[in-house]
Amino acid sequence: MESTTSVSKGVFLFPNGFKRTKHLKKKSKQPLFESIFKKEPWYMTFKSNWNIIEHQLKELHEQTYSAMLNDVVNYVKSFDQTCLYDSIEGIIPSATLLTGVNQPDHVNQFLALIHKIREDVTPHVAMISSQDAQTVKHMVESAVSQLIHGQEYLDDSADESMIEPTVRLKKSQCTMRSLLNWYQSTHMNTSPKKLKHAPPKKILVIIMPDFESFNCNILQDFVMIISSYISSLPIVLIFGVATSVSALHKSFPYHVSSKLLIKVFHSHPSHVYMNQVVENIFLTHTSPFHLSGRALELLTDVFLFYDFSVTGLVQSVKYCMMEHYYGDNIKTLCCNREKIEETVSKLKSDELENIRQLLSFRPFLEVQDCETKIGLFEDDNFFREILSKEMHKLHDYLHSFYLCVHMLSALVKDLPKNLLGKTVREIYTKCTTEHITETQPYRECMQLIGFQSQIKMAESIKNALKEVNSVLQTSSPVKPLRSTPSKTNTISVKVSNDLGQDFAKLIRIHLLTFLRQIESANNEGLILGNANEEQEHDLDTDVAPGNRYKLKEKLLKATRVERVQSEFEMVRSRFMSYLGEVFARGLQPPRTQTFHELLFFSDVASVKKQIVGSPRGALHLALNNPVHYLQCSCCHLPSPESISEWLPDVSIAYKLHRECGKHINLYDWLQAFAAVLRPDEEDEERFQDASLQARFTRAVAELQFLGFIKSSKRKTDHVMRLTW
Amino acid sequence: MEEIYAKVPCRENQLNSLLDLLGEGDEPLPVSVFISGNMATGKSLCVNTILEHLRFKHVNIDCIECYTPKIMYEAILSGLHDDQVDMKCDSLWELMNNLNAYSTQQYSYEPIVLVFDRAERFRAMDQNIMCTFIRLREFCNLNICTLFVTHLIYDSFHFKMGVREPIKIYFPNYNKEELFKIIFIHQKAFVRHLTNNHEVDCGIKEDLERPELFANFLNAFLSVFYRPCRDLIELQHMARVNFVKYCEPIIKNEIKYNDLSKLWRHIAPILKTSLELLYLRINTSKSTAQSPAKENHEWIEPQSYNFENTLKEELLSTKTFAQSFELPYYAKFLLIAAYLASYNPPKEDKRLFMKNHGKQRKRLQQVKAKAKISEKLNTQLGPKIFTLDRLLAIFYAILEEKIGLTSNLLAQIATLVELKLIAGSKEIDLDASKYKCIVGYDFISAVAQTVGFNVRKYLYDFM
Repeated sequence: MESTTSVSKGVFLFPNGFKRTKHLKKKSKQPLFESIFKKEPWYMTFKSNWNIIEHQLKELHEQTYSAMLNDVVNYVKSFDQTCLYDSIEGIIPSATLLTGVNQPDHVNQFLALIHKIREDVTPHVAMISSQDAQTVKHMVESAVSQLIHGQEYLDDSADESMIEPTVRLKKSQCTMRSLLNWYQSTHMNTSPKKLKHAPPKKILVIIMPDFESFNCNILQDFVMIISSYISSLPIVLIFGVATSVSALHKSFPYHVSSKLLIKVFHSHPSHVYMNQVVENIFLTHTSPFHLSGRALELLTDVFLFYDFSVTGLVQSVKYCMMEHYYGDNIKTLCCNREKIEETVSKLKSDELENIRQLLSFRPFLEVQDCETKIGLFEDDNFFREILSKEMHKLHDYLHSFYLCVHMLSALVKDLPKNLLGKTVREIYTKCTTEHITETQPYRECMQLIGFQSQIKMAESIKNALKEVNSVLQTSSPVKPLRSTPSKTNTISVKVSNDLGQDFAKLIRIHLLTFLRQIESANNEGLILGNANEEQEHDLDTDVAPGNRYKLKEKLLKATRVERVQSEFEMVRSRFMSYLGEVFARGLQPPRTQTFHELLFFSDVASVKKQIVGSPRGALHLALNNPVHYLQCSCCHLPSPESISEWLPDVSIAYKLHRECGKHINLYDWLQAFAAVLRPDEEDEERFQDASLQARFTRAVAELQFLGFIKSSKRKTDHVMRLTW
Repeated sequence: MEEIYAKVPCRENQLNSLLDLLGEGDEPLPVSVFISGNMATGKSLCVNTILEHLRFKHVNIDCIECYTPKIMYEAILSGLHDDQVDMKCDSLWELMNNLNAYSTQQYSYEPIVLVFDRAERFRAMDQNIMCTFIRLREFCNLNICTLFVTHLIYDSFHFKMGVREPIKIYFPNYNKEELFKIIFIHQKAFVRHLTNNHEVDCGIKEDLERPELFANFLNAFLSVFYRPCRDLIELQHMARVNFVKYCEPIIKNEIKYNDLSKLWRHIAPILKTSLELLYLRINTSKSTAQSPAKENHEWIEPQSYNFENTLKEELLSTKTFAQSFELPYYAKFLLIAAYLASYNPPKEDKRLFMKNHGKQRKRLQQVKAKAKISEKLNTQLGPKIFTLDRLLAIFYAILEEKIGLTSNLLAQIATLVELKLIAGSKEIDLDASKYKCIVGYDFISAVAQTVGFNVRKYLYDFM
C-alpha cells in the first residue's frame, strides 16, 4: 500500500510488471472505444486538436527542462572523464535535484533525464523508486538488474509492458558482486588488448526520483555498499528531492554523507512552469480551444490551492476539451482557421439549426434587416456563408484579443499594487469576464502608466512591442483567406471589422513611433511652435492614416496653448489615449462576440464535479437524496431532510443517524428505523418482525463499511459516529 | 617493516601487535581477532597493509553488503577459490562442508584470514553466525583466522554464554599532532589539486609547493577545526577546500607566501564560515560552463543567481528554509492544522477554535497549571498523536473560506506524509489513521507567515 490516496479501504492495482493479460485486453479495447467515435467529426477534430496541444506541451516541456537537464548531464559527464575524485577514497559523486513538491510532474522530468543521459553519457542507467526498495535486498537487486540489463528493461517498464529478455540473470543473482563481474567483463576485457582505443569507461548512473519516500536506513546501507565499490565501479547517484537539501542531511548521518559529494541542482518552481504552460499554450490565438475566464480560474485555483501539479492541470484541460466536444458536431467548427470553410460545408442542416439556436446568434440577428433575417433562417447555404464569415471574424477578434491581453500584461506587470494581477492568466480572466476598460482597477492602472518616467515608459513599451512581435511571428506567414472586403479603409463604422493581423501590425507601427518619440523626447518644456511642427511632421509620415489622430492632434494643440508641457508629457498623453483606444477595441469580452460558444468553453459547473471530486459530498448526496442518482419516481422527497419509507434502508439509517450525537444507541436507532418503515403498526408488532431487524442490521453494517460509524467497546449497544 | 610504518603513520603499536599475532609463514594463526576503534582511525588500512605485506591469503567481506548471509558465504568461498566459480551456498553447514572440501585440496598448512569489515552488522543477523565465525577454526581443518573490524567495542556485542573471547585490539583516536602528520603526508596531492584547478605562474608554483606554506596552513586550519571535528576524512576534505582559498591571494600575487600574519587574517573568517558547512558536503563550486540553453531563457537567470545565495542560508536557518518551501495554499493550512493538533491538548480545542466557547471558570488547579513551567509546555514536549477527524476539524476552523472536502484535499495529506512533514500512514482511513506533525515551531511560524496566519494565537501554550 504505497502511494494510494483514497478515503476508503479497497483493493488497489499496482502495475508490477505482470502485464501480459492486461496488455492484450488493452489492445482489444482500444479499437473498440475508437471505433465508436472514429467516424464522428467532432471526435476527429478533438483528436487532432488535442494532438496539437500535446505536441506543443512536449516542446515546451523540453525547453523548460533543458537547462537543468543539461547542467545535470554535464555534471555527470565530468565524472565520466575524470573518473575518480583523486586521493580520497570511497566518495560517490552525487547530484541532488530539487524538484519541488508536485510529485506527479516528476515522472516526465526524470524520464527526460534518463533519456538525455542515455543519449549523451552512458547506456547504463537505473531508476529505483521507493516502491522497489522495501529492503536493501530489493533495492540492490533492482538497481543491479536494471544496470546490467540496461536499455530494454527501462524502456519496457516505461512502456508498461515487460517481455522477458532472452539472457537474464535471476533477480536473486543480482548482487553487487555480479555487477562487478559483469562490469569488468564488458568494459575491462577489451581494454588491455587494444590500449590505444580502449572504450571509455562508462559510468553507471542510479537515479532515485522520490528521495523522501525511501526508508532512511535502507538508503544509508545502499550508499555504504556503493561507496565500498566505488573504486572499481564508477557510479553516480542522482537523488530527486522534493523538499530541500536538508532532507538529505536529515536522513543521512555523518558517516554516510561523508561518502557523498553532493552537488545541488534546482528545477523551476512549478507555478512558474504552470504560468508558462498556460500562457504559451492555452492563452494564445493559435490554440484551437479556449477556456473561458471562469473555467481557467477554476483550474488555476485547483493548481494553486491544492496540488501544484502541472500534469493535473493539463489533464483537467483535456477533460474540459472532451466535455466541450463530446457528441456535438457543431463543435467541429472549433478548429484551425484554414479548415473553417471545409467544416462549414460539411455541416448538416439540423446541425445548422443547432447553431441558429445559440444565444450569441440573437444579437447578431437583431442588427440585420428583414431580408437577411429570413435568408438566415431559410437558406442553409446563405447561412453557411455568413457562418464562415463570422467565424473568421471571431478568429480575427481572438487574435487581437490575445494580443491586447499580452500587451496589457506587459504594461501592467511592473506597476505597484498589482491592481490587475501580475500574470497573463489573471488579466485574461479579468478581461474575459467583464469589459475591463470600464472597470476601476483598469483606470487606475492606466493612470499609473501615465505617471511613469521616460525611461520606464520606454521600457514598458519595448516589452509590449516584444509581445506584439512574437504574436506576429507565430501567426502563419501565409495570409489567411478573407471573405471580408479590403482593409484600407480604417474608418469603417463597425470597429470590430478591422481586427486581426492587420490590427497587430498597425499596433506595432504605432508603438514603434511612440517608442522613438519617447526616447528622443525632451523632458523640458519647449517652445511650442517648434515641437508642434516636428510632431505633426512625424505623424504624417509614420502614423498610419487616421482622421482620429488628426482630430486628437487638434485637441492637443488646444490644450497646449494654455499650459507649457514638456515634449515628453505630450507624447505620453498621446500614447495614453492611443492605448485606451486600442484596448477599448481589443479587449471586449468574448461573450459579446457572435458564436463565441463554439470556441470558448464556459460550462464550469458540469466540469467542476469531475475535476474537483469530493467523495464525501457525493456520498452524502447519495444517501441523503437518493433520487439524484437513482432517478426513480418512488424516492421523491418533498425536502431533502424528510424521510419516507420508500427510501433505501441505508438511506433511512443514514438520515436517522445524522440526528444523533457522538454515540448512538442501537436500540433507539432501531426503534426509529422501524417507526419510519411501519408508521401505522403498534410498537409491539414492529419488534416482532424479524425481517425489519435484519434490514436494520444490514443497513448498519453498510454504514459501517462506508466509514460513518464504528462499533465502540466503551458503551454496550452503542456505536460511535465518525463524522460530524 | 619501515615501509609499513611509512604507509600507516602513527599506528606503530597496533601494527606491531597485529604482526605479532599473525606471525609469519606457517605458524598457526590466532583463532580470531577483534579490532575496534572509531571511524577513520586506520583500522582497515592497518589490517590490509599487513595482510598484503605478509602475503597471506585473505578475503575481505563488507558486512553491510550482506543483507542475506548467503552473500557472505558465497563471497568467502569465491574469495578462497582463485578461479572464478559460481558457488552456491545457502547455509552455515554448507559453508563448513565447502571449507572442509577446500582443506582436502590444500597440501600445505596455508594461512587464511577472513576480514569482516563493519562487523557491527553481525548484531542484526542471526546470532550464531558471528559465534561460529569467532571459533571457525574449530570447525574446519584450516589454518584460518577471522578478523572483525568494527567501530563498536566488544561489550556491545551481547553474546550468549560460553563464547570464546577473541583477542582484542583497540585503535584510539588520532591526536592533533598525529592528524597534522597524516594530512601533511598528502601535501603533494593538495598542491596538485590546487594547481590543476587554477592557472598558476611558475614562480608562484614553486612557492606553493613549499612544505612550510602547507604546514602553516595546516596549523591554522587545525587550530580552528580540531575542536569540533576529529574525523580524519572530514578534516581532509575541509582542508582541501580551504587550502584553495588560502592560496588564492598568493596566486593573485596579493600576499606573499611568507607573510604569515596577513595570510592568517585572510583565512580566519573563511575558516569560520566553512566551519558551518562541516559535515554537509555540499559542493559549492559553481558550474564552470553555463549551458547555452540558459541564455535563451532570461527568466531563469535571476533565480539561479538567487539559489546560490539561499542555499547556505537554507541550510543554516529553519526560517529561510521554510520560506523557500513551496506548498499549495491549502496544504500549508493543513500543515498548520496538523501542527496545532499535535501541540494542543484535545480538550482545549473547543476553547481555541470556536467562537462561542463560553467562559471558563477558574479553579485553583488551573491557575496553578497556568503558571507554566517551561518543561511542561506542549511545544517543548514534542508532538502528540492526533486523528484525521481532528485534523480536518481544525483545518476548517482556521480556514476562513468555505471549501468542500474534496479528494484533492485528502490527497494533500498523503503528500505531506510523503514529504515527511507529517508522520503517519499514507492511507486515509476514517477511523484508524493517526498522525503526528514532525516540524518545529520555527518552521511552522514561517509557513504561517506566508499565508498571513498567526500561529501563536491558536497555541495553548501562548494563551
